[in-house]
Amino acid sequence: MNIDRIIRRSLKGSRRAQRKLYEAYSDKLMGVCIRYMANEYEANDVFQDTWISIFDKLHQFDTTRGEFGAWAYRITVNKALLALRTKNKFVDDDIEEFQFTDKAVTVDDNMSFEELNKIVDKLPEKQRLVFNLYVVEGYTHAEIGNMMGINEGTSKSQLARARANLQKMINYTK
Amino acid sequence: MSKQEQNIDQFERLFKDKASEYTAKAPKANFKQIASQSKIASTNKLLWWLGASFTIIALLVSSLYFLLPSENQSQTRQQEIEKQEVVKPNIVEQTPISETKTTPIREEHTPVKQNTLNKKQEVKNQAEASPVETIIAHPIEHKDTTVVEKHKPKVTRQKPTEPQDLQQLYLQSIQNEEGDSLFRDKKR
Repeated sequence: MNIDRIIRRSLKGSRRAQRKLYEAYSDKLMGVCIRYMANEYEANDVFQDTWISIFDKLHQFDTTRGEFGAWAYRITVNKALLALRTKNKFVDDDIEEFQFTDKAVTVDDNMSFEELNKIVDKLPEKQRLVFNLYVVEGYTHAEIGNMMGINEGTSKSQLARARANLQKMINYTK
Repeated sequence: MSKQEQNIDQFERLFKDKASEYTAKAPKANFKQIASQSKIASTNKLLWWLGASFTIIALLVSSLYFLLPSENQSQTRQQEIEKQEVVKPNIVEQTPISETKTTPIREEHTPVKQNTLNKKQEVKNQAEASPVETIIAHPIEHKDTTVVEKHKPKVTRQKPTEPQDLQQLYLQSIQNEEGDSLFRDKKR
């Protein structure tokens, strides 16, 4: 499947090409939405907004500058963050004290993403987001600061706290 | 690096790998809704717009086509009016020709009327000339004449159709006259 050709045809107005593009990346982007949002209902809303943005801005996408998947991925993350910001989900974690009372979860390589994500979901909202953006997406603290509307230092401190909390929560075994 | 730090590093790596592979089933039915909401061009929309624009252009062209001749027609009408104004005196001069033309038609119609009148007059003359009139002139029979006058068309129509009656009346009157003459002669 030549993605560049599909994009060109999509831009020319081919509904079939647009559908192909949607089907090629929808499952992956839905996964991103579920990772950031609290539930599937909110994830579905973000997913729709993401695709509307992708189709609206498709003419801005430059095939020479990067991969379409990465571009679409970035749009999805931005949409998720925007949705969380509008819902005031960025609770100040400095005031909120994280208390983990459960037993440490034994983690191994055979665990599924859903099982691993359950552990990360227990982190406070801000820590969870910074952890996801830094570890999974690979953004720098400066980028995360810009995306979340926080300082670079705050991003660093949030990541440090997230790591500290995860150390309490997991017991890694090979 | 402590054991806990190693654990978290391994967890991060595992989480990243699993997350990058992770996909969730997206609803396929959403595509139509998304496509309709997005501003991206579609061939259907383009076709619709093309069709709409063509019809608009066609309407404009047709309206122009119908408007322009009407303007020409108005111009030609004005020209015709102007020509007629110039030609009018000739029409006035030509009126005698129309009179001469109409007269034969009247002449054609008049003989018909004259024939009917002649027939009526003939009938009247016959009635006047006939001796029956003398009897009709009788005071008693005068009433009948008045009646006849009221129903003139019937009388005029019936008289020519019954010439035998007239003849009989005529013969009777002759006989009466002869009888009277004989009676007078006898008296003498």
